[in-house]
Amino acid sequence: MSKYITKRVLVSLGTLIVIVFVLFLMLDKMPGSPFNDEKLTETQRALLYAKYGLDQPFFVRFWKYFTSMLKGDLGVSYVISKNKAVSELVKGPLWLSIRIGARAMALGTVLGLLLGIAAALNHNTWIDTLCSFISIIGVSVPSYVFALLLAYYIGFVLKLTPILYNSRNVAASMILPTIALAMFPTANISRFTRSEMIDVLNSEYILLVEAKGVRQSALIFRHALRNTLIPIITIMGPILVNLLTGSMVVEKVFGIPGIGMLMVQAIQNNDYNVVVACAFVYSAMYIAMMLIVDVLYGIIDPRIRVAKGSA
Amino acid sequence: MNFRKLFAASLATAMLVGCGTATDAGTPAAGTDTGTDTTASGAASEVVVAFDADLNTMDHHIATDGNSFIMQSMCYSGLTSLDKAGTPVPELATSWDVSDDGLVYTFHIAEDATWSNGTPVTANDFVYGWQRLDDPAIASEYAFILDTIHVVNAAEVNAGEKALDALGVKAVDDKTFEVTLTLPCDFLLGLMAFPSFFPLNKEFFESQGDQFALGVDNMIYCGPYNMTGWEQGNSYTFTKRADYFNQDPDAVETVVFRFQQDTQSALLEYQSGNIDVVKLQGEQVDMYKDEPGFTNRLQGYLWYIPVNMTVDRLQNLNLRKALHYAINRESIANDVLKDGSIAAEGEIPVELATGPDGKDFRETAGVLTEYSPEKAAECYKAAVEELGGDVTLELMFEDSEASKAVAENLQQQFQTNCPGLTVTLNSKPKKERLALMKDQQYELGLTRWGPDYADPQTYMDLFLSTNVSNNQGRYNSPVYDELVLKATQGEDATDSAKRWADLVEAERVMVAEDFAVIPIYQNGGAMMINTAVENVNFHSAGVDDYRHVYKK
Repeated sequence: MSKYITKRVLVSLGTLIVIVFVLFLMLDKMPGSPFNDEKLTETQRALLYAKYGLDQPFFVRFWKYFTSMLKGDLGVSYVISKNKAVSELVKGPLWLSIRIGARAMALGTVLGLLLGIAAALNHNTWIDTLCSFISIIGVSVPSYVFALLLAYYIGFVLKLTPILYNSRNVAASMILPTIALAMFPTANISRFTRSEMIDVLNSEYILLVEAKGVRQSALIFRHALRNTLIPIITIMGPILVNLLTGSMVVEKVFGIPGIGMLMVQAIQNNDYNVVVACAFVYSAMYIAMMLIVDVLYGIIDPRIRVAKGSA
Repeated sequence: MNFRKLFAASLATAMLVGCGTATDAGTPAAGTDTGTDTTASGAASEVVVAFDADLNTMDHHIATDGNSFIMQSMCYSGLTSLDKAGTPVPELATSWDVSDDGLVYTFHIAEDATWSNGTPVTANDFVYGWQRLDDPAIASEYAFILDTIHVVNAAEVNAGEKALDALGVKAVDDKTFEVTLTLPCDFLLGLMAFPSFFPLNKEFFESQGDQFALGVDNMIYCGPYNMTGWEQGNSYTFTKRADYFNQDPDAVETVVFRFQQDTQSALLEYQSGNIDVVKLQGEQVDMYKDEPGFTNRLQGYLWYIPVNMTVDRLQNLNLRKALHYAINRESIANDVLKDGSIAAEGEIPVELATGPDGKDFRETAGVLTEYSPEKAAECYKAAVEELGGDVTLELMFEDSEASKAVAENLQQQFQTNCPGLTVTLNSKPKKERLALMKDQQYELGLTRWGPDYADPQTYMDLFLSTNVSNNQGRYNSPVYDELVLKATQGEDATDSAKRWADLVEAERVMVAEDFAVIPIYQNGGAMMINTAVENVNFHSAGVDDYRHVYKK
């Protein structure tokens, strides 16, 4: 297992280096520049390029960036927060997005599993229909609309929570975005749980367990749920990364200074260093999550561990 | 069966508990830079302003965007400030003398003006600030403005040809700051209220190294407010300074600028009373225009099409005329944009500049644009004959909602009013559009210009044949060049009346004789302002002023 993990970690690191290179290359080839404001003269632009070293050849810039990156220096922002260290600029928003995303994931997973199990256990009854209805709404209503509805009814009409993110009252500010973000995982996880659970409950080994007279709660949570979880964990990885790296739409509606907003702002402004940093964080989290999912597979299903270990 | 019921009940409980557990942690705010973090509240001692663009920098020598300038103006002051009408009045300078030839300005700095660390504001702070603005090493995008007001050696210093101390500024003594010009400048005093010209405390600046102005602890202030909260991407707090010598006693204790891109939820917060000033967009204007608190402030931004004169077909005068006459600008402003924008009457916006006769430039210059489908059709017919066939043109625009709507309307108007003309659309991100237009990689392009100072020259300079950076269409008219140069740096520069007349004539030549630039509309800025909030001073050129706001 440890050999497998080491190999995977090394491959992940290599992938990340390639990603940084490709990002750098793409930004280099992208039209426009951080410095093409209407007011900027050619001379001024040349001065700015020289100041930030953008006048140097591609490989020189990449090498400089890469080596200072290893030391934790991600350069400075050119536009959105001029001359501020990108590592400083990214830290706060990333942490905020992670906190909101983790809450949404926790809420979504619990609700999704419960809804899915309830639907499967009450297959073809009104409870099943209700659960399916909730998950269809969750998948099909755009998060922008859902976020605005929450802002309007819970924040504005009922005045239960702040509408916009307020750093004086962070805990209350997180309620609406958490619910808005939890909608998607709830819906997805409940759909998967339902169909997997129905399959598992119809399988022969469950019949055997039932025949042995095991209590229903033990049957569901110890025997059925464990096997149901395997495919669900696969979808949870990407969902979690999406949530943790911040949803641009939900952050925009609730005015959350998260990493999603930062990345969009950076892209709109061609703020190269910030774009690279945000995309790097995103990729790193994605790769890490995939790794964790693979390891979790092994823990949940020993057959996978054995198969991979022998490979 | 029991278990199933139990499970359904626990599901309902979990939904409630889940919300609770997910949100009850009271950990401190993330993303906080330094100092107190504050955002909206309905307190009477606080005014909350929502902006749809974020703060880019608090360093007034490298700032380029309007919102950064507004926030800098909260905590820094200039030699002058602008009153409600936009007239320069004394601020850090209590008085000034201008030499008879208009070339030397001597400012007398207030004795009791101090920085927030207690040190006095001196003439040297201005000398240092202006030199830094012009320093090629800083690469300030606004360095050009020193040359615009004709400060001696401004261009040479910025080009690195002369040392910083060659710049025409001098500290005669601690409280006397002298500026020497090569030519008189009618709008210099107004510009002294612009952040690029604000002073800089050398000692403090040098003590900060590369951290200057990156957080509230890395700044000292010479204006009526201290910046006390900086939460990037969220909110910026300014608290009234007790020791500011020229403090407005009525001004509110705290002003918070809140970055909120989504105007929909910002409006909800406005209605809840947590935000006092918010911009309206698109259809919101129609919905709110009869509500109390609705305000429409005209902005100096002018949207226009600089026809690319390097394209063969567009060198045809009749074709350019046809395009000019084909546009119903009223309809674009009132039916398409509906955001308080108005039809452009010329290339110089209304309410931008007042002439030596006290009249608005537009009033003197008159209406140069005309909508006439008949003339458009006639001119297009003539153009087709001259060019030997129907014409296809491409209109480039940026991918914002407003630009897209305007471009689509223009396309339809062009094609309807010039039968046979085909106009295709090309949408690009703003930065890319600017880059392409700068390189003449376009035919027709919808672009805008915001004035840097309250004088027509801020627009007229753009279209000089020598201005390779801004003259996107490469308009090249010796008549226009001569008129503008005569007015801005030639024989008429010293005579305000003649200078004005030259600029009026130059605009006419470009817009209504050569039809090289097609003005479309002047930006409106519809917004909701809490009816209890008074004294927000908007300036169509220059920086909006929240230094005197108060809440009834």
